[in-house]
Amino acid sequence: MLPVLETGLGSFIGLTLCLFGLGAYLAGQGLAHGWRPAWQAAVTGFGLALFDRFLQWGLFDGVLLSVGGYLAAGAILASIALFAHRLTLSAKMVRQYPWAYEAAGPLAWREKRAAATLGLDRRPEETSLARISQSQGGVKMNKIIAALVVVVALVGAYFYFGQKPAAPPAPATTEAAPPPAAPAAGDIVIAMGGPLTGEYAAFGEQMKRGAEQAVADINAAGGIGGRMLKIEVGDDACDPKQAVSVANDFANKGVVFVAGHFCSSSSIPASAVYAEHNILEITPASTNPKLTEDAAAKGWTNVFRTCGRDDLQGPTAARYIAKYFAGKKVAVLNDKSTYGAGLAEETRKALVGLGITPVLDEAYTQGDKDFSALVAKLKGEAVDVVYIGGYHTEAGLINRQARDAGLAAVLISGDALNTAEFWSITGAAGEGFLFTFAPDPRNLPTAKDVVAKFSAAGYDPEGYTLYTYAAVQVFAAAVAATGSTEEAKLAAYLRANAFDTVVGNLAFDAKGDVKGTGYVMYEWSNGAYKEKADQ
Amino acid sequence: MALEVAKFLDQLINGISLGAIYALIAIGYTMVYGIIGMINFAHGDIYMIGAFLSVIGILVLGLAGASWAPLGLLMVLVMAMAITGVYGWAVERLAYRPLRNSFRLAPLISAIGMSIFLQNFVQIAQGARNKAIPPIIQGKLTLMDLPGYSVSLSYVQILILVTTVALMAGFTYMIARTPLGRAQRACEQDRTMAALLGINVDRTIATTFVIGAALAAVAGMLITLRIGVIDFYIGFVAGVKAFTAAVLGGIGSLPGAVLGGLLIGLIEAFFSGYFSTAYKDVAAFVVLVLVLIFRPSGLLGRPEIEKV
Repeated sequence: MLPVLETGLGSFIGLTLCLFGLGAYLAGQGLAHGWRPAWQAAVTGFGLALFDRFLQWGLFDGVLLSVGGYLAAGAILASIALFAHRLTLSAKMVRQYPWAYEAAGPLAWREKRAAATLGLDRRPEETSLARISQSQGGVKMNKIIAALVVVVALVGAYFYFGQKPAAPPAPATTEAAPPPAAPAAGDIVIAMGGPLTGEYAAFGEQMKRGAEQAVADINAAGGIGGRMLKIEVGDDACDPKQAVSVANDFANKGVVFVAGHFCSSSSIPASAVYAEHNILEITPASTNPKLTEDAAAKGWTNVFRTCGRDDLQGPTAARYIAKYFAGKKVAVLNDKSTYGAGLAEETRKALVGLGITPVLDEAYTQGDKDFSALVAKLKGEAVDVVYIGGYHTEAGLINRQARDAGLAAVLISGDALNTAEFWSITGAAGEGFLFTFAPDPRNLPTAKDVVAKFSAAGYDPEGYTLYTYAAVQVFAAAVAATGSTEEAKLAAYLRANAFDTVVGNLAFDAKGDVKGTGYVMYEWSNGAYKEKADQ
Repeated sequence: MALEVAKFLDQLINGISLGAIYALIAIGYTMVYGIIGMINFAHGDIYMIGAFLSVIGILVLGLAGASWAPLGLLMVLVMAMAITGVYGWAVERLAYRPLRNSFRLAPLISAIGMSIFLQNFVQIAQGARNKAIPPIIQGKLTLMDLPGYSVSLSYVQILILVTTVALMAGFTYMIARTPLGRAQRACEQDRTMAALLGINVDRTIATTFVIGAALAAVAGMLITLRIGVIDFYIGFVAGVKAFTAAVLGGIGSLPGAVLGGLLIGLIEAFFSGYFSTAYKDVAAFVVLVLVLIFRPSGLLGRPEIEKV
C-alpha cells in the first residue's frame, strides 16, 4: 500500500489533497505574485507536508514519523505548489509585459520576435525594477476582498445557520422597571420571558398578555396572602444566547418564578440558569421533550410546562395522516430549529411506525423567504401531504408559494400555527391548512370569565395566552398553599397536587409534564382556525 | 423524460428569478466599489428600506382605493426609488464622504455602523413583526402541462426578469455613453486628475450612491411583489448574498454582478432541487471560495495589474 494512503483514501483526498493541496496552490500563487523563485514553492510544499502528517497522525491515527509518508505527501504538495507558481508566473509575465512576451500554453511564455530585436528580452525578475515592486509589496485589494468575503461568509453562516437567523440584537426589555428594581417589601417578583421582537413576536405578545392579565386578576383579588405580584418582562427574540442573558437578568432582579420561554431552543438553555438560581420555570409553549427529560436526567426539579410534548403531538398528526391519507405520498420538512426538527422527527418516527415512509425528508433555514425551489421539488415528487415542523412564518410562506406553483398537497404543521398572523401571511392560500394543538381552552367553561375580560379589552386570547395565564395561576396556588416562594417547596407541591386553572384541571408528573394532555387537529379556514369536526 | 425536463425548467425559472433580485442588489455593490474602491456595507439595509417603502406605498394606495394596479405600482416604485435614493445619498454624505481620505478601513466600519443603525431604526419605527401584503399581480403563463406536473412562469417572475435585463442594459449604456458615465469612469481611474479636469467628484460619487440605492429599491419592490412578506432583517441575508454575487462575478464589473447574481440564484435552486435544501447556502459559498482561489478577481473582473 502506498504510504500516503495508510489512513485511507478519504483522509488522503480530504486532508492532503483538498485542504493542504489548496493551501499549497495558494502558496505557490502568492510566491509567484511576489516574484519569489520556484524553489521556495517546493520548500513550502514540503513544509506543509509536515503539518499534513501531523494531522494525519492526530486525527486519523496515521504514523507520525513515517519517512515514506512524509516524502510522498511532500512530493504531492510541492508539485501542486510548483504548478501554481508556474501557472501564475506565466500569466503574470504575459499580462504585465505584453510587448515582450506572449503565451506558449498555460505554463510557459516565450519572447516575442519583434521585442527580442529591440533588446527588451531581459527577464524582468532580474531587473532592479522588479526588486522595487517586490519591496513595495502592495497590498492587493483582491486579497482583502477575498479575506473579507470569507469572514462575512462565516459570520453570515453563523447567524444564518444558527438557531435564530432573524434575531435582532435587541437588549433584554425591562418594561416598567426602573433600574434599581428593588421590589417593595412583600412583593413577589415573577417574570415572563418570550420573543417580543423578531419573527415570532406574535407569540411573545400572547404570553405577555396572558401573564399580565393573570397578575392583574390575582392582585385585584388581594394578591397571594396579602402579597402583591410584580411582573418583569424579558425579550429573548427566540435566540438561545439572548434567552440566557434574559434569564440571568431575571435572576439578578430576584425573580422567583418565570412563565416562559416560547421557543424550545430558548427554554432549554434558560432552564439551566433557572436551575442554578433556584427559580421555578413553567413554560406554556415549549413542546420539545428534551426540556423536561434533560431536566429530570440532571436532577433539576424546577422545570414544568402547561402544554403538551412533541412526542404526543407528532403521533397525533401521524395518526391523522394514516387515517385520512392512507396510501398517499407524504413529505416531512423541518426548519432545523430545536422545536421544528424535534417535532418533525417525532412525526416521522410515528409515520414509519404506522407503515408510512415519507418520500421526502428535507430541511430549510429559518428566516428564508424564497421556497420556490423546495416547492418545485415537492411538486416533482407529486406529494399529497406535506408535514412541516416549524414556525408559522416559514410554514405560511411555503403554503403561499406552493399554491402559487400549483401544488395542491394538504399541508399539516404543529402548534406554532395558532396565531392570526399566519393568515396575514398566507391570505386565502391558507385555506385548509391543518395543525395540531391542545383542545381550544377558549371554549372551556373554566375560561369563560377570563375570555370575557380579554374580549372586553379588544383582544382574542388565542394560542398560548390562556396557557400562560394558567402557568401564573398554578404558581400562585402553590405559593398560597405552601406560604413560601422557595423553589424546592413549590416544585414538590406542584408535583403532588392538582390545580384548577383556566385551561382546566392541571396535574404534573415527576418530570414536570402535564398529565393527560392531548392534541387535536385544527383547520384554518377563512381567516380563523377551529377544531376539525371529524378526527 | 418529459417530467425530468419539466423539473429542470421549473428550477431554472426559480433560480433565475431569485438570482435576478440578487443581481439588482449586486449592481449597487459593484457600482460603488467601481467608483470609490470600497464596499458599501449598508447596501443590504437600503434594499430593506426600499422593500418597506413599497409595502407602505402599496398599503396606502390600497386604502385610498386605487383600482388600476399597474399605475399604482408605478407610482409606488417611483416613490420608493426617490426616498430610498435619499437614504443612499445620506449614507454617502454621513458615512463615506467625511472619511474618504482617511485610512481604508474607516469608511467600511462607519458603513457597518450605518447598517446597524438603519436596521434598528426600521425595527423601532415599523415594529419587529412581519409585514405582509396580499398578492397583487396574479396569473401566470403555463409553459408545460404534464399530467401531475405543470411548469409555469408567473407574471411577477416575468416582471422581475424584464426589469433586471432592462436596468442592466440601461446602466451599461449609461456608463459607456453618457456624460455621467464618463465622469464615473474618470473618477474610478483617478479622482485627483478627474477633479483637475473639471469633474465634480463629490457629486459624481453621490450620484452613484443614489443610483445604487434606487436600484436596491427596485429589488425591494420586486421581492415584495413576489414573496409578499418582509421584516426588518431581510437586508442582512440578501446583502450577504448579493455581495457574494458581486464578488463572484468580479467586483467593479456590471455584467459580472448580473452574472454572479444569476449564478448564485441558480446554484441555490438546483442544489435544493437535486440535492438538499438544507445545504443550498453552503453550496453557494463553496463555489465562491473556489472561484476566489482560482480567479481572485472574479469571473468577469479585470485582474489588478501591478505595473513595474
